[in-house]
Amino acid sequence: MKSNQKEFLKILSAYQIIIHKVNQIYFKSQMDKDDNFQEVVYQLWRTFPLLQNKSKPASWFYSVAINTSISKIRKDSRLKFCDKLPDTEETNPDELLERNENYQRLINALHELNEIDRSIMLLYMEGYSYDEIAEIVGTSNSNIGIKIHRLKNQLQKQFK
Amino acid sequence: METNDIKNIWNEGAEKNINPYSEEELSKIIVKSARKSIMAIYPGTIFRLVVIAIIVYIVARMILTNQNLEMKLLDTCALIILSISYFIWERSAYKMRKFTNGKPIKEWLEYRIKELEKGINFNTKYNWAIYGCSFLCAIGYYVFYQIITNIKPNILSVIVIPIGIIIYLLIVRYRLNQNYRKTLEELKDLYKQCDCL
Repeated sequence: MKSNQKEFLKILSAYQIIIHKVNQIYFKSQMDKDDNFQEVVYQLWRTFPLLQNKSKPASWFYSVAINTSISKIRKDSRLKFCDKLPDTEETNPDELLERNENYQRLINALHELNEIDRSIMLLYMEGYSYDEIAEIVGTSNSNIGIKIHRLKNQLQKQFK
Repeated sequence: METNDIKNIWNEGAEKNINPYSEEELSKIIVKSARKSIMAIYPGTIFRLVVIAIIVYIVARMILTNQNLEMKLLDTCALIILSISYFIWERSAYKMRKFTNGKPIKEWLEYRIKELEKGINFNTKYNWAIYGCSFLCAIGYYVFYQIITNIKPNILSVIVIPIGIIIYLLIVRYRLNQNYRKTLEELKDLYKQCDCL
């Protein structure tokens, strides 16, 4: 395999978690997640030469993954959602149950939001600053601040 | 619930519920993307089912019904043309999709691009011959069928059917050309990325 391909794979391997996280908030069925993962990789590959800062590709990964996921949702109205997340291994089943229950509730609450709000919350939960979120989403940071405040209240109400 | 709780639930849950792919799996995903583009010019499931249904219908008609010799000859010709065309198409699709693990993706793409360009050049060069022959085959089959079944020519057989066949062939030609060019562009895009990465 050529070194340039290896480099792409290396970056993809290091940042693939971002695509998985975006998949978590946009899709519930494993089939849709796999399809979208493939589509995002394809788009990343196509747009890789346009990437300015190759040493920090996280924002670019988020942008491409979010845009591709939203396009897929809008194109494909047949998307199916399953109710449960896949089982995972854990030493303490009660703790796992509680953790996973909260996570499941959070995912369900996120799925109640529109596509853009979901992406904003994802970036917020991932620890991005308002400026960075505004840059990725393409709006002003004052709007982002207001939006996040409102979305947090909305999510907290759904958790009660 | 506090703000940090949401972040904690998210981070812990995402960590537990996400299984990252290995580099080998990621490599396969890239190849799959290219295959997806290639599939645009090859038969899909519905097309396959339609062709298989027609072949089964013709075979069943030849075996189960009491046909005369001319009718059997006509059905045999249709069966041979359809089977050979379908086999060639499937074989070509298989060859284009085949990928051996460990083979450089760039090399793999290069072969597909060359094959597609050959296909486009052939279609451009013999465009009217291909569709002219297809029209003659279709109309010849229909006329011969009318003769051996003693159907008298009417407005349907003289005007509607030939025009219908022409429109159908023009749509097929347009769609195929469009898909071939689009697929070629996508593969070339992917190929360029191999150089730019």
